[in-house]
Amino acid sequence: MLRINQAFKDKAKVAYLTAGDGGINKSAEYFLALADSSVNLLEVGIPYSDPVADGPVIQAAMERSLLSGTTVDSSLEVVKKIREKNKDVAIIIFTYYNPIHHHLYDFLNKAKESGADGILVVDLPYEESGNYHHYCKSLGLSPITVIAPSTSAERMKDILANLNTGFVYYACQKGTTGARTGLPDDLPVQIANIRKVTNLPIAVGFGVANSTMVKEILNIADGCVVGSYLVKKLEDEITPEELKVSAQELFTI
Amino acid sequence: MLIKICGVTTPEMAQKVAASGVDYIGLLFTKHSPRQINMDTAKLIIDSIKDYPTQVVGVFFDETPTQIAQIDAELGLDVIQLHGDLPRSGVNDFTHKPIIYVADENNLPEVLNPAKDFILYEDITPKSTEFRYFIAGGIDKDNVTALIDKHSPHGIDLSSGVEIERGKKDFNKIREFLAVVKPSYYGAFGGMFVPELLIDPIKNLISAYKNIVLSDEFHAEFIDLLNNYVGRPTALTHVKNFAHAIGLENVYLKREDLTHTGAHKINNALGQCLLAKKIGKTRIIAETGAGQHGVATATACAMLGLECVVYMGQVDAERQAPNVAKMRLLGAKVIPVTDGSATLKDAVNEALRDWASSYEATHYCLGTALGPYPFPQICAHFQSVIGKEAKVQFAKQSGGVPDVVIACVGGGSNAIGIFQEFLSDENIKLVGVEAGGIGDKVGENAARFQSGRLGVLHGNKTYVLQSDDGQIADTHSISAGLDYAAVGPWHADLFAIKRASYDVCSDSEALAAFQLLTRTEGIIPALESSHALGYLMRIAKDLPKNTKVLVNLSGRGDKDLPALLAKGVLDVTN
Repeated sequence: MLRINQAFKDKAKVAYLTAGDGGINKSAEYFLALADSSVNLLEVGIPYSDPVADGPVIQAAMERSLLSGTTVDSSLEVVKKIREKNKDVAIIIFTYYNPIHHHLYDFLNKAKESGADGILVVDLPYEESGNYHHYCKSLGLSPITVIAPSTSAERMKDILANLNTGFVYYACQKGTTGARTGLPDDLPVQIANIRKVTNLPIAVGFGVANSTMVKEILNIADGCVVGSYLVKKLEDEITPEELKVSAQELFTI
Repeated sequence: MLIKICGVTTPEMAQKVAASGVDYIGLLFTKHSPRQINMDTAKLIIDSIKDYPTQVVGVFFDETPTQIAQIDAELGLDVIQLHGDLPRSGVNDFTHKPIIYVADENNLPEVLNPAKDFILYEDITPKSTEFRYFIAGGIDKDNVTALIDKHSPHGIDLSSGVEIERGKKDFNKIREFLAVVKPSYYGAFGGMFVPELLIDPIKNLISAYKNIVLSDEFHAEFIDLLNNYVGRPTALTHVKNFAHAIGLENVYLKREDLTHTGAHKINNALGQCLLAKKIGKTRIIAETGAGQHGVATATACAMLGLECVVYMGQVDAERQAPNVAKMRLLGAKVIPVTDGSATLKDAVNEALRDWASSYEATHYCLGTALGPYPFPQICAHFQSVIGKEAKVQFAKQSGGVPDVVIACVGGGSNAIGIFQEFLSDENIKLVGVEAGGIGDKVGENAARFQSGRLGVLHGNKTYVLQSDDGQIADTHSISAGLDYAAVGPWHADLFAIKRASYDVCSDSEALAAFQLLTRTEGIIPALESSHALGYLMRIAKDLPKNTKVLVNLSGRGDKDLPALLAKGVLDVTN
């Protein structure tokens, strides 16, 4: 959890890749290369057969990863490999609920042991979260909460009232993940609305695909998440070093 | 919200309570309680719920810490609830397992651990601490909502509020209570597991359902369309020849094949499109498997003047080609989905993705009784007309009620449509028939109740065919409409509480039924509906000859002919 706070001390530069995309070992190398750039928070996605919140690029990455044999456990293995080499970079796990719900506590426990600092379960809304927040708290994992453009002010308050760890992930666009050409006009207003109900730092993601967008986001928010733009590069068997250069260019502000 | 039911006294009640998704049951051993049980009963109760996640709480009022430890050693309790002064004096002895500590006016003992222990406030106002807490004391379905608003508890402890007389729990009262506290659930199943983005659209839909669909005005307009556009009520046909051919006398078919567009799907599609229009949506999206829901939605949209987009798995689009052409003829845009297994599951994925970017002007007309709440409820509501008509017709024609009601189950909309009306009469057997496909292995069928396990797919918690690692499994069925990895949550509940049973019918049994009904009655059934008939053919020999059987013939088989003829599996040589 401290690593997440550290990442937000200046501005959090968050990069998403799907675990096991390129194989377990290569996948860890990609993440480590990102952590060698200005990226200071890694989002490690557990591949899932039916990723309804994701657009075509991440869907394809999840399919590649599953085809190469990635499991929930081997995804955590990627986290472990990253953590062994890099003690400082913050790591959160991104997952859908079905692969983890059967053994939720055990999974969270293993995630913590593998070196993760936080977790984001994309299809587990506040209403359905049951013991999840309690488990995270007792294990010292930050549950990362997503706020969407459709989230009402009242609901924002309800969701964020009792959270005092991690950060708020503002998914700034409607639709699924995937590169967009620009940021929505209501972004500053939405960020201001979130700040009214929480002191947690805010990272903005969804559709961020160039350094201009990164700059604009980091001007008003505390962190910026890039996913599909980087995942897309893995389609062409890019080297970890090349990925690092790309991330560096993207996040240079 | 955690639910604890205190003072369960029989294994039968414990099993039903656990199957309904209750988190904790409390057992009482004190002779001062009307809910006292002995150790033998306690063991039977614990055994009856061993397959459920429900935890067993030993509730202690006047036992010494030594006695509590003895009971725990014999039963292996999950949680220990310390109520009276004597039990509470032993709080230091039980730090190795979760405790529910009943608070009084004194400070909480320091030995309690917020990571595992709960506080229970009975008739006193909860204090703000770092502990999770239950509230208790005379809570029932009528006062619980206000108490939750006032105290924001983590859990509710229930006892007399769900009893029919002092010390006697009542399952109906328990279910009524659960419906108030967890309105999006059918017992342990259902819910709304969707990304945050979709929560607001879903909440809007919930209020539209309550305020518009359930209004008299809407109902009148809907019924008028059903009667004068869809062609309802559909017939109930006594199929004597088919019955004789399988050794029975009284087999009746509810003829949903006679609706406009040829399947029950139109009841739901028309209802939802009418609702969409009322709430100002101009565009409708739908997923379809067999194409019947797609055709029904395209039809409703053509009539109501709405734009229509239908997602259909590529595999399904090929095996149900006539329906693809029909949808396009009706003005709908059909988008083939090539991802994953390119069947119904993948079509639902694409529809959900579309809705996530389009919800402001678009209604997602989900075709079956599943998905995030309120979709299962809306669909079940619009399909309930099937059972309502069938019950009246059955009484008129046969002079009574059916002994057994049979329907095929993909997502489960036609089945829930007919089952609902018969749920309250426990003498009537309800049987859902899943696709047995070509074998027992995962990937060879769509038999969720046979080899699925609890999971979350497309927004609801239910039985899901999946790998050990939680990846959704591929399914197989000769019928596109049953070829799906999850089952509607209401069916999951009926299965769990044993109100309905579920069985399978293989591809070949369905084909045999398809041909038998066609030849004996001149009715060509849909391959989906043929599964209900194929199951009946298989079990007919075990039924008394005069058994009164009601089968929901959910649709007509014309759509299946091209693919079946191409496969050469039908006898058309005469």
